[in-house]
Amino acid sequence: MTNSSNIKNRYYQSYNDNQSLLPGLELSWIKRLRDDAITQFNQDGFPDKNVEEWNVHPCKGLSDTFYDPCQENNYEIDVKSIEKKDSNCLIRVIFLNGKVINIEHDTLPAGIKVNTLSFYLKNNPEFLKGKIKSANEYSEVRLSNIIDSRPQSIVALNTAFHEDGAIIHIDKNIEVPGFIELLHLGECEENTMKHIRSVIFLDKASKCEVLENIKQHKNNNVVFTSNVTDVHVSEGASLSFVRFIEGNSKNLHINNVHVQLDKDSKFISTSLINSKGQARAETRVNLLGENSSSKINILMMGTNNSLQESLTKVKHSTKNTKSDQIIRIILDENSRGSFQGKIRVDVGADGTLANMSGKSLLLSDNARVNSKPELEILADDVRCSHGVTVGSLNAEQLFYLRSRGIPENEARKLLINSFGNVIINNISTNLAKRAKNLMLEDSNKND
Amino acid sequence: MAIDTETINAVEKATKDYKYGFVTDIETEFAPKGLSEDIVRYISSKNDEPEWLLEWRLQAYSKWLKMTKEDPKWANIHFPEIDFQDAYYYAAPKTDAEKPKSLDEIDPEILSTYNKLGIPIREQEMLAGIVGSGNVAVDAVFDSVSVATTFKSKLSELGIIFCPISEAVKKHPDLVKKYLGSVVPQTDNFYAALNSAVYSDGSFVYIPKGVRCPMDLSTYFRINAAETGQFERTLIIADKGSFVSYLEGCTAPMRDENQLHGAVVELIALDDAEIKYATVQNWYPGDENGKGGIYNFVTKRGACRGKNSRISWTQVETGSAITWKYPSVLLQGDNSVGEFYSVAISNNKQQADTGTKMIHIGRNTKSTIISKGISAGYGQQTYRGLVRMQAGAENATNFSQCDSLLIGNNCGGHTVPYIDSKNFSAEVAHEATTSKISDEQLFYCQQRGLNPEEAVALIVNGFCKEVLKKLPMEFAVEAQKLLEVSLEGSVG
Amino acid sequence: MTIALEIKDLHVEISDKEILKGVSLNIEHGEMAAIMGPNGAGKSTLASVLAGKEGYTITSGSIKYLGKNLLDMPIDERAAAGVFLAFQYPVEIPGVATSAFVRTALNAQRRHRGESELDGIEFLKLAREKAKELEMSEDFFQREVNVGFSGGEKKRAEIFQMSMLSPTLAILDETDSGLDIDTLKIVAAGINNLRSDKLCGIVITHYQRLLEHLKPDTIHILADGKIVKTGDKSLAILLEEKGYQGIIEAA
Repeated sequence: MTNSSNIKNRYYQSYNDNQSLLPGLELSWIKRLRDDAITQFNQDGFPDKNVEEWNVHPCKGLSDTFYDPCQENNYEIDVKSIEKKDSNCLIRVIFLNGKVINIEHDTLPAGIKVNTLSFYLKNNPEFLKGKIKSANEYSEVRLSNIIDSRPQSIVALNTAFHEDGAIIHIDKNIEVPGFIELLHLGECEENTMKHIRSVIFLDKASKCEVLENIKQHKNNNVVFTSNVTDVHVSEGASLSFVRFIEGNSKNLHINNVHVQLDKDSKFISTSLINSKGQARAETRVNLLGENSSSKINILMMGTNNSLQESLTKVKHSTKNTKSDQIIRIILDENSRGSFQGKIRVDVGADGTLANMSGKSLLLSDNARVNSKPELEILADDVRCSHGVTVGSLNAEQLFYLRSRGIPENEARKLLINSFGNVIINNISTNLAKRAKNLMLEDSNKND
Repeated sequence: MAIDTETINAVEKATKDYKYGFVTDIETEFAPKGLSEDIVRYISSKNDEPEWLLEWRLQAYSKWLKMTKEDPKWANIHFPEIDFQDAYYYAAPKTDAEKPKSLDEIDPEILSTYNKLGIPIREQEMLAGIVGSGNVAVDAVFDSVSVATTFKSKLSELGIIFCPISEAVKKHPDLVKKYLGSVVPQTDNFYAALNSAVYSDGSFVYIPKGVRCPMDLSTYFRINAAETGQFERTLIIADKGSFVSYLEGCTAPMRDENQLHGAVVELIALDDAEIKYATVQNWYPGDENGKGGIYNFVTKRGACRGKNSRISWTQVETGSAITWKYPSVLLQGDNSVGEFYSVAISNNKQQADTGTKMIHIGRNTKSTIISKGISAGYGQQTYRGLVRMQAGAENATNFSQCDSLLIGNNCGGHTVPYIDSKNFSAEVAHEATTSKISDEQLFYCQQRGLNPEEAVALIVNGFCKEVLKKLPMEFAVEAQKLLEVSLEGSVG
Repeated sequence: MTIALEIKDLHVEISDKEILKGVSLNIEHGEMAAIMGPNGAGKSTLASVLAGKEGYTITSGSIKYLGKNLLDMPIDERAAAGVFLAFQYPVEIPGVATSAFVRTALNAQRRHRGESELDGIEFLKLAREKAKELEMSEDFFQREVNVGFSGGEKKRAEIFQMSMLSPTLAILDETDSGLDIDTLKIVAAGINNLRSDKLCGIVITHYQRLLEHLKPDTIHILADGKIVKTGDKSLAILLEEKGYQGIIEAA
């Protein structure tokens, strides 16, 4: 107890001591944003098991270690050594240890603006105002009307300490050809922490696909990274947001996406999570405009002693909105997986259609899965449903395949792949191949 | 929509006057208000208990003192702080102090109370002592002390013990000692600890090896004296190869003060034994503004200790201002089966957070959960359930189906299932839907000649059918009656 | 013959859009009238308004049935007064057995009319008789109302309910849609069995097919919210030849 409160104080101290490293403090609104966030974090501390949203996470790892948020890294990387940009990729932003080191792009059509957070803070801070949200904004409103900020203390920490990020701004009616990639590479000192804060803003009737590609670190140190992305999809616009999350056995990655959807807008998110360490992806979608729709697809794969976690919260705030969630979890060896999904239908959000389907596949004796699909319905003219299953490979299917001459390993692989395919098949052609590779890599391990 | 308004009106009209809201005028013997070690001793001595039980109670009391009142933060219920020193912990009908030996000695006032409650004629006849008029044995608990036990002789021929737990403590101390607190430990939760310290009385059932209890055992609990915390304790043991079906039903007189109810029910099924436990609960839910009404914080748990054992909970919950209740099953024996069938209605300002826990420990264990939640008025209804597959639960299976029906714009229906699987050969499947009664359905029924209230009742009954059909016949009728009272004027 | 149903200059709107623009129609006791017309003419609206469905605004006009103002009566009272609507899309009611549903409805209507209710045995006897007439298996008594029924089963179940409830005004809203020829014949025979001088009927249909079996006394063409032509069964044949457009233009 004393230890963790000591550690909490060290973050507070570190925030006060390292202000020169935190961009934008000269702007009063950024300063307030960061100050409020560290105050909130100082008050709440790291979440523990009593926080509903974190009850599967081994919170001790977070609260017992001080991860230096301001430690400089001496690692460098030769940009040429990085694999080449995909031909379908229009713009690629390369991060190393939380900071942008390069932006590559082809000839850019008009109306597509991509740059670093630091650039925007210097040259166009007004654009960011209100788009980087305060951590408070995403506090959980409990059914008992209690506002609980504890689940968001990592976001608070991110809001206080973020050093860089990517800003994507798509103008009205612009359809981005290909996709935009945010590639995150890392090679960090032991016990350090990196916070990345990005903003994606799609103006009216625009269309865009973004890939957030989080690679495992080159070295294997205990490192905590947090990516928070604030997304605003304006009227009639459509965003496809794809996350590939990998990690080393000692990496802890926490990923938050907060999405606000205006009238007639569309949001499709696909996350492939496959870390050897701990990876947690949170997706919070607020359907604020009529006829907006959200689709969340998640595929998590766990091996060794890894922990993959996924949390979704889809909030239907107005009439005639629609949401879909498909979650697939494949766990082998000693891995653990967790899915907490929530559909919330606010008072007056009549005509809501919401659906959630979660399936977990346990491949080993020691794998463990936790699943909590939740419905909070406060309007009556709705159609909401969820279905969740947990099980192992279907013995009958396996037998059938083997009776046709397919060796057991191959048969298993086939079935495991088909289990995940419902997610993979939903990925745009731009990224399908890469998604498949990520997936195949994993099931090959079963050979 | 106009139809919604009609529905809401129908519901309001049906629930405006709590049918069973009257107070029986009986002198009640109270222990002084508040809770202390002395009160625990007082309750124990009132029941003439042996030393070991007093020790057990005191142990629970000292543990309770150390427990912080952790009202579950996760539960979707809220209520003002309860002052535990401002309640009575013991009340017994005075006329019953000498424990009547026959039914003739029963206070006529009590019998007439049952009459007003609409207890089926047959059961009243039994209460009146007309033996042979039916096959339901009633151990009626008036407030906390049992006042009448029927069919005792018929049951005792088979070696079945069905009596107040206070009596069982004296006559069958070994059984009570062995099993009391073995399923719900004293420190399981705040209210279970409180119950262990101050429980006044309750039912005890023991079914010997290989015996099929020939009748449904039935107990009516009610809360009568004002501001009396009710802490019943029920213990049911089904020895190897036995079977018992137990029915519990409740109504309560109208009161203005919130009353706390913190019962503990423990079921133990040994090898090849089966226990069916059905509850129809219709406590006073408070008025339209949520004033008054019962707080129902109950711990109900069954242990399938033996192989091939089976425990099933069926509940129809229409009452209480606040319900916090999760009848659960620990599936310890291989091939054991746990079932939970529930209908819960929240109307007006009622809040209910109810569900079950199925803890699979043994191999080939199987559980089924069917929950139907209905919210109307400003009611808030949450299904909260846990299915856990422990590492040894090979080939265990669970199926859960949780459906919510919403009537009106101001209510809420919530589903919070927790699934935790540590065994790869175990299978869990959970499904849930939320919907409302469609205007089309209402129009269709009305076009065939049903008035709006009848139409709603019919549709709600259809919605709950899977659960209602699990109730014993006698009880199913009563359950339908309670659904009517809660939502409707009449059910077709 | 005397007039049973009298619709006078009926104007009906749905969300401020006028659907019926002055329909007038008289139907006598024992008369079977067919209403035909193109999609969107207002046929189903007329059926719904007769049964009393919500969501329609009657801006002017009147409907009198057996001397009573139908528009003043709630849905269930109209049913008790003898109005039966066979739905184009019969509604599913999960968990409620068909026999329980029909018995509840029948007894509710009987109560309303001050008649004694049927007990289980009387009801079952009647139900078996009617099911047999419609060549329906008794299995469906225990099946949930319309749940998992095929299109043909649903329509047959509607006619079964109609025969059980013995209405005096039957409105058949596209009862022929989605039926194969054999089922159509059975359904038509079922309806014909119920015909008497006490029953009048309105058959709403697109096609002449059902009318060949039902042989209506009168045929009305409804187009754009108005009855544009009235005639006998030759009108239906004419319609098959010329199509609605030809008739409407000629009218």
